[in-house]
Amino acid sequence: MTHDNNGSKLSDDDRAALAALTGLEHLGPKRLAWVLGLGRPAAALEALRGGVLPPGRAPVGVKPELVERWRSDLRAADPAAVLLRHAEAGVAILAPGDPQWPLGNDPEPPQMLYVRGDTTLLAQLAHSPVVAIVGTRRCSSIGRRVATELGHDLATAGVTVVSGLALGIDGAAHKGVLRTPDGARPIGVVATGLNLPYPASHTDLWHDVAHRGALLSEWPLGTPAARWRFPARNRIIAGLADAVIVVESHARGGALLTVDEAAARSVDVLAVPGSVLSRSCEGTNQLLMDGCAPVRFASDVLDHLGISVLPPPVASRTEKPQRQRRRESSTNRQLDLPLPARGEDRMTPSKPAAVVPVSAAERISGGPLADSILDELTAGSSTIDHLIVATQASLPDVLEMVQYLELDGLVLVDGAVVALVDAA
Amino acid sequence: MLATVSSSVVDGVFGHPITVEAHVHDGLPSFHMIGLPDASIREARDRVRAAVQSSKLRFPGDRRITISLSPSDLKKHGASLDLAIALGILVATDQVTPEQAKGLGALGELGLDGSIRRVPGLISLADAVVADEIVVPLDGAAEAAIVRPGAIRGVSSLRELVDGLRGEGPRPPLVDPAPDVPRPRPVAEFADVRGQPLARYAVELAAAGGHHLLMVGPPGAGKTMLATRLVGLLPPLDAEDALMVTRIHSVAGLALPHGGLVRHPPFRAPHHGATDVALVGGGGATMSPGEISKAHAGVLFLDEMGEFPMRVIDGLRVPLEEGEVQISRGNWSAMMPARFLLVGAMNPCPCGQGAADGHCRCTGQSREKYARRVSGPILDRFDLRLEVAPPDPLMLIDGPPEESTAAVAERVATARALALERGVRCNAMLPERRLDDVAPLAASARAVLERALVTRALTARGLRRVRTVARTVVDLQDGRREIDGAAIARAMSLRVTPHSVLGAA
Repeated sequence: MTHDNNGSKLSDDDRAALAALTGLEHLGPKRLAWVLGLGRPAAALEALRGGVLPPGRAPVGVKPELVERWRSDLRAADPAAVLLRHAEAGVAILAPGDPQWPLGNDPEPPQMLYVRGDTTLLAQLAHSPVVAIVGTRRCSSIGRRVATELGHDLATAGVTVVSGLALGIDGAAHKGVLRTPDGARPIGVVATGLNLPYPASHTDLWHDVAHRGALLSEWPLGTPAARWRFPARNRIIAGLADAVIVVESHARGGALLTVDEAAARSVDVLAVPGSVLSRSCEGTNQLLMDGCAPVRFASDVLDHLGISVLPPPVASRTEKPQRQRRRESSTNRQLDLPLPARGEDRMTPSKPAAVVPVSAAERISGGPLADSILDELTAGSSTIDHLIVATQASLPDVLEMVQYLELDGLVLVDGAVVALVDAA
Repeated sequence: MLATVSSSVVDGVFGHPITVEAHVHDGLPSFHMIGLPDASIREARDRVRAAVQSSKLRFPGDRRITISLSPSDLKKHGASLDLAIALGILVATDQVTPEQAKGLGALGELGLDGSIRRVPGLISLADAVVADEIVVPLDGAAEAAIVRPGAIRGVSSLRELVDGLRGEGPRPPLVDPAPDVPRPRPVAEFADVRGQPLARYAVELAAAGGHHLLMVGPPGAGKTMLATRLVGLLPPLDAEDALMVTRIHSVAGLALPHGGLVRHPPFRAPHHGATDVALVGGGGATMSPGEISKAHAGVLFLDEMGEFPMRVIDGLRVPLEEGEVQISRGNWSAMMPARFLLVGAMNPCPCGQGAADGHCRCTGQSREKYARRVSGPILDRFDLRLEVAPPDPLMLIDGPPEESTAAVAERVATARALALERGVRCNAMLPERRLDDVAPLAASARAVLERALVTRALTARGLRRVRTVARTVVDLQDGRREIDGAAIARAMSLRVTPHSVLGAA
């Protein structure tokens, strides 16, 4: 059984052996490379089973007891069954040399990639622009919103978006990608086995990304989440991308590890500027100080990548809202707001939240107070308490008008904060 | 020889009449007590023996003493029967004649020196005793006289009582209830809350309509300050409530104002370390009222609501709906009133900073866990929910002076009077079927509601609560019968579920 499979350089035996080896506990990329010093995967597996130690110094932390544990685990393992299990689960296994292998010249590539979704998509990556959108899990609502917009706009412009499907920025970016019906398809890189969604609250997102695009993991089915696997996952994200965009990052965090991996691969790093007072922007602002290119809109990324095909025009977020424009855009507007409607629905997040600016004729808001509130909000979000001072109107009147404006889809109320809905 | 004395024990917040029978006869010397006494009553044997001897009276220690407490199937606890037991033994041994003790009930705990000490719940106890006159501890006599005026005699020692009954000393004096002079209540001044007009309005609405209020905001936003001001806006208790609150506080052993009726709505703020029994009421052998009953007709303030155990918060659901709480243990149950205005306060997340500007140090999981504590049914009970931001510093310095407690309380009283005309204590208690009658919708209100329901800013369940709050909004203005669109919009604006609390994905 040494025939080539689909032109791959790796035999089925080697593939099965690798699947078994990557399933071992406490075995990361470096330790795997050490083990493979014993020879081709199938041979290395047999040698390790037989008690042969790999040549060279053992990586830090590998003790004889651990090798003994691997050995006993391998004796119990049936590589062919592991392979069969993946085939039955519809998970493709890619190895370097396969035509679909997306990480051609990576300095530290994974030995295998497990893929759910469309593997042909991976083959096309070399010929199309790929951008990674990463950031902190503990992001601000603004960061979440920027990530969603970037994901949506880049995918619409035909740029493949790669991310880690984590809480916060990662997930928000892909949610934006999924809102484009026919934009570029999403790629998710995760740090657990493909049958164990992590975080559990993103289970639907996993399925959607796998359905629309491809979901990648370095680890076989059944691999649980472990702290060290996430930085390892980040190197694959960096390896896949032509540019890495950091939307928000604290002074220290996983997103900055992705930045390091990107730097090691000469992949450009871009960062979204944030408030200097916000802790969740400390890392990104530092990146900008260190010389990263800034990103405000998707068009900045496209410029940076030198993509000549211009995306649909993106309105400036700082532009003064014009009534006329809003009226025109309201009829064909998509539901691309990152924030759900205020009110009861937040208690039952499964219901769709609908904020659709209504046409001018249907509006229940209006009058001088509505105008002055909208004017005030143009300068930035505000609170009810502040709007009373700013408009010199009475509290009941302001409360009433803000509610009308919200029902008309012109403003958003988030707790105490009132903000303008962008005229996109 | 046999003697009978009337007394009572506390059962929940009400008293239960007890007949104490004392039988002293020849036989093997013993002192037995029957009729389901608990440990605190069995200990009465030692207190009674010592008190009788200390009072220079004769204790029949050489005879067979049987004390029976009837009804015999009711479990009894507390020291309120001590005096009745002692008196029964004295009558049974002819140290006091049956005629001298005729028609006399007795309440009180005995000290070993023969002194008579007060027990908690004297109002409910005195109310339950079946007797023409009742002797009670002198220092609790005024309290007991609230429910039995002209029938309470206060005594301070067993010797004094016996001398009075025998005619060897002055008969214990009849005690009048403490004079019920209206006193200004010490309230925190509402004008102190400045620079937060929205929060002030929500507090006023809560007071006027009896709507439960949830405030979410970072530490220092003034949530506790607002809650303490709310109770000052509520009108004084009516006669019925005043008696019930006094009864509950008496049973719970809380200090009564000047020994008299509680005239003003109580304010209770249990710490989040409270157990469910402490909050809802109950306990082992003794059924004692919990914080929700102590807050009856007043305000229950739960600060740091997200820190209360879920089980404790969930225990509030039925009382919030029913206005009373049924506590059942084994074959024994008690109904206790618990109609309170719930004011909840919580931080946006465990670290308190909220996610708005990224200063939050909480993980998504811990934030979700925190939010789950109050989500669902309890969250739904809050008609008014708002996020409280720290006041604008400029308004603290330069802002106009705010309305005082007295001025706002006047509007609140007017609104409450309108609710009474509708046959309910406050608008929050309006049943849904009466809304069309007492809060009819104007055309403008229909338009707003229609839009809100179509865009799902409002659910059918939320509709009823918004209508009752809108009723209060109008009552605070001019009390017109119809609800207009403006009132509906204002009510909806005060029903925010702060984003940061529910951990938006």
